[in-house]
Amino acid sequence: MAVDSTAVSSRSTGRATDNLYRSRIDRLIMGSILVAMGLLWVVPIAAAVDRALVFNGWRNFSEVISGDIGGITIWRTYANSFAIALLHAAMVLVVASLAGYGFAKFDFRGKEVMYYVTLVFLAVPATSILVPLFYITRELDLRDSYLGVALPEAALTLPFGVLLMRNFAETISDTYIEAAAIDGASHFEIFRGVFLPMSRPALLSLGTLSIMWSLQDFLFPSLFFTDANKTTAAQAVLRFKEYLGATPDDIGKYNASLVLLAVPALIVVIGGLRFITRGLAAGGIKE
Amino acid sequence: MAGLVLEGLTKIYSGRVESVSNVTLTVADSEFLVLLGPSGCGKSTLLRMIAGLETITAGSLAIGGQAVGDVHPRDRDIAMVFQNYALYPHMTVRKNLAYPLKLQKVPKAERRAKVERVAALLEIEAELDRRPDSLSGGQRQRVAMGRALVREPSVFLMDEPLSNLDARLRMQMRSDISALQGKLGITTVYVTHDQVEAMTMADRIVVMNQGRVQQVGRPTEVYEHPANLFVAGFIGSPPMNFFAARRTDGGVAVRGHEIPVTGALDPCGEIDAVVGIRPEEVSFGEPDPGELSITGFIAAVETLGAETLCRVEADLTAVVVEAGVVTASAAGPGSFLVRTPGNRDDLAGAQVQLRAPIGALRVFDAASGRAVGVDACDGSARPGADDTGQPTVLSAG
Repeated sequence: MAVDSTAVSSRSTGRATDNLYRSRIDRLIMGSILVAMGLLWVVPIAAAVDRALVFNGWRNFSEVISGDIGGITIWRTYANSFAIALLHAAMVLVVASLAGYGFAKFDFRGKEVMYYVTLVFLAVPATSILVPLFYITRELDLRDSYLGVALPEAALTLPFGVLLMRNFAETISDTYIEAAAIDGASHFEIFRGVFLPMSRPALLSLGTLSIMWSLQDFLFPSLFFTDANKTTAAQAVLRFKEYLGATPDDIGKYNASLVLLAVPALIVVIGGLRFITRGLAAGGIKE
Repeated sequence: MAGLVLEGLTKIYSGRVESVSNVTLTVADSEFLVLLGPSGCGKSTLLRMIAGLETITAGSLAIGGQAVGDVHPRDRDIAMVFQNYALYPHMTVRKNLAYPLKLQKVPKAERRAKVERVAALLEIEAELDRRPDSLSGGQRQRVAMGRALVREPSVFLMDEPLSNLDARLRMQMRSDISALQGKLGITTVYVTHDQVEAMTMADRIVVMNQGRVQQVGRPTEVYEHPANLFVAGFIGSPPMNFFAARRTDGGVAVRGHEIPVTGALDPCGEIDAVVGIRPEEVSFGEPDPGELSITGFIAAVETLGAETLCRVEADLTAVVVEAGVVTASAAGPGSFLVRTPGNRDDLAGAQVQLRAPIGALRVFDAASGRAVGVDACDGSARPGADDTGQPTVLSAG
């Protein structure tokens, strides 16, 4: 009898799931949209790879990897990109986790106003603050330094970081904080010993997104770097164009460099995808 | 070890809502005190005030003779077990147990020895390298106890620690906690809404309602001599039966029996006084001359295996008591619960004669709900409410 009821129950669960996408037309439409979106992403990449192989085939790639383009190697652009991305991610993680913890677990006057003011900055486009940033970094003598790019990037990422960390912190029961306080922990020890380890999914997600966004940033490095040695991978797309692309031979090489310049961001996204989805999904359901 | 002294402890939220009102209590060294009451009665808030997790609006609190009202929780020499255990999910059981010691900067070797000693005491040695999410409810409960014990605190606070366990495990843990507390002699304040836990574990019970202490006493004392209608209705499952009685010059009259009472009785509407009797004090059969006679019709029967609960539509004026306050009386026959041993399915629908000893009756003032009368056991007036109608806050220690 028990076996029968289990069987019935699992059958009904299966049907319930199928019911969501029961109609053949529904499935066809959904499948077509997904394929179209996939093509939208794949076609330009495939085209770039295809163009990267013209004239010299795979040699285009090996020359870009081993050579020097306009006084800088592709490896140097990778290193510059990652230096900024890691600095940016570190600043975002430190400030956003502290702010998220504070907003979620402390009561203080003006808390909600401060929080909403922070969120308003989500709507501020980078281009609208470029001029002030240009002067600020000059005054602070941060031009041509990694910090000079990472700092404005962090300022723009932080509203999202604070939003993510506060939402996540609110899913962590206050009881953990109270238990740690009774166990003898100070606020900082609670933050470091309890909150941060429990926030790992959100921190990994935010860290991965920060690195990814920084690797894709073209605007700030272009504005704040005059030193060719500081060229980032995203910025190199333009710089390499100045040196390549004039001859048919170089067109293939330039396209090979475009493909290679996209590799670091792709690696971060592919490697960090599960962290991104886990961190963003965490907090959606309150246990 | 240390005792606690609470004097006039009050908690007011947002300047309006009084969650805990003027609680005065003394908890003796090594005592097991249970705070018992329905949801929202303020028992957990009171415990959190003792722990230092809630600020004190008014009153004072001393642990081991030291005023600790403004002291940080970590400096109160207390440990607490939470309802959801609050085990750190990213740490193994060993690290959970060692965490308070690590914060106290206890040397590593000593830390390890203490953790192993507590683990042996609670029989969780085999789980030391597991994470909380791989433990059963009972094991998690033990780890939470262990984390509290490992610090060797003066006072142990427990906030409904068994409420997430199934009935069988709860029974096992009840006796384990009682035995452990008796062995270690740590002063314990335990919050629960489960009267079975309170009755079986407590040295003394503090019954609370609407932020106020209703009665403090030993479990049997609270059960047998409830201070007011709230306690009488809250303690006992099923609760005490209430019916109306007529006032006379020296007491109350119930179906031809005169019960002398001390103190004045104030009526509530048409009800002169309220008389209560426990379901197990009533039995089937012809009454003796000194016993109360009740007749009625059995409207429902619930067989529980070892005993049967019968709902009798009796020839008494029933009194409706809600949260300790008389709210109405039924004009017709009142519902009356009777608990009788064995399986009595055969009683369904029967017209029955019931009897109850007069000495088992409890008399309550209808207006204030306080218990009055002459104690059937020792003849002394029972603790009740003061002249303002507020329950008397008792202190003991």
